[in-house]
Amino acid sequence: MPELLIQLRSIEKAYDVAAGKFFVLRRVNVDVQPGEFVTIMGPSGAGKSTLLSIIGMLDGAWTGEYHFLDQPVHKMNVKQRNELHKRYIGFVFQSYHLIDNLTVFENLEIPLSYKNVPRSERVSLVCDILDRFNIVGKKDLYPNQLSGGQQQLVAVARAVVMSPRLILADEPTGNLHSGQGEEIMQLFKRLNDAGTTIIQVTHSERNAAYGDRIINLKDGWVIDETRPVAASSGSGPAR
Amino acid sequence: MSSRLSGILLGSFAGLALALAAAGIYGVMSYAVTQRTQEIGIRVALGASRANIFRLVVRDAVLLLGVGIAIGLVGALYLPRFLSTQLFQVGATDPMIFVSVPAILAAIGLAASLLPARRATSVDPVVALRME
Repeated sequence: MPELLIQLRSIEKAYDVAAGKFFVLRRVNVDVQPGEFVTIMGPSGAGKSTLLSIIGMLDGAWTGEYHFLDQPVHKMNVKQRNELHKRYIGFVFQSYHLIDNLTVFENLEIPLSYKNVPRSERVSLVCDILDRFNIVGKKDLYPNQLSGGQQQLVAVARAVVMSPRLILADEPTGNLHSGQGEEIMQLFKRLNDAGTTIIQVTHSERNAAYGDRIINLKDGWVIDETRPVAASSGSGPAR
Repeated sequence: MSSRLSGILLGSFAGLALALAAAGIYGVMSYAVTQRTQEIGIRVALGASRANIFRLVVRDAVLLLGVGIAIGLVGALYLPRFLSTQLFQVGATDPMIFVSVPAILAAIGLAASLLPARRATSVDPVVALRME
């Protein structure tokens, strides 16, 4: 059996409140194989984004066992988790989260600078990605000079530039109109076809249809796993 | 006014100015870190370590100090000639003063920026990224 990319066992996250503990996640068990395209769905407050932050190693305050490529994340300190995260994981957010006072080129360079890629190699990697995403003409523009769709395209490019094994996308089309949203989803699909594992959080059945399976969360519990309904042709919004 | 009294007065004003400068730099750096909380969250999500974030903030402080000290030095070269009658046992352009005062200022400025830089490293990326 091939090595699992992600194995979560009894993951719990809770906040202390006056009446005791408030659980955001409860006994979450999830396995993700390399190359999968997984969707996490559920009502607001179900714990979807929290689960994504834990998988992405941004959130370290939880209990349970988390193995990433057979390595025990639950036993790691912040530094070790950071090493794993910057080596394997790229993020895409609903509100793009580009850095406003940096150009497109400089934004794309950030993840590489934290991986200690030498300057000359950084430039060639960024140029490659600009070319691949057809945004060479935008490289000297600032994020506020781009449309929402273009900003998200840059944000996906930024996640892809360091060739991650896993891309985590938190409602990546939530701020986009349907046409732009669809373009971003097709981009994810192509990245997935090329071997990148993708985990997305979405409210949209249509976006979920791009994936292999859906993990349904409610009140912090995984209630079931379903197969996505095949996308109907052309009707309904992308969000 | 005796020259001793004016010396004490000048000395205490200089000390006060130094304390104000330190408080000012601390305030500015603190504010800058608060303003950049979301950016810090984004950088952490893109792989920045605590050391990277610390350096980011301290580098800004060094830049700010550099500019401040350069402006101060230019001012110090031209203004003291109007004060030269008040100076005792020190020239208006004493090299010793021109080295030691910027060094003391830089040290105080750096020290004042360390606390905000430390605070920047403890920004919770999950919270920072939720800010709009």
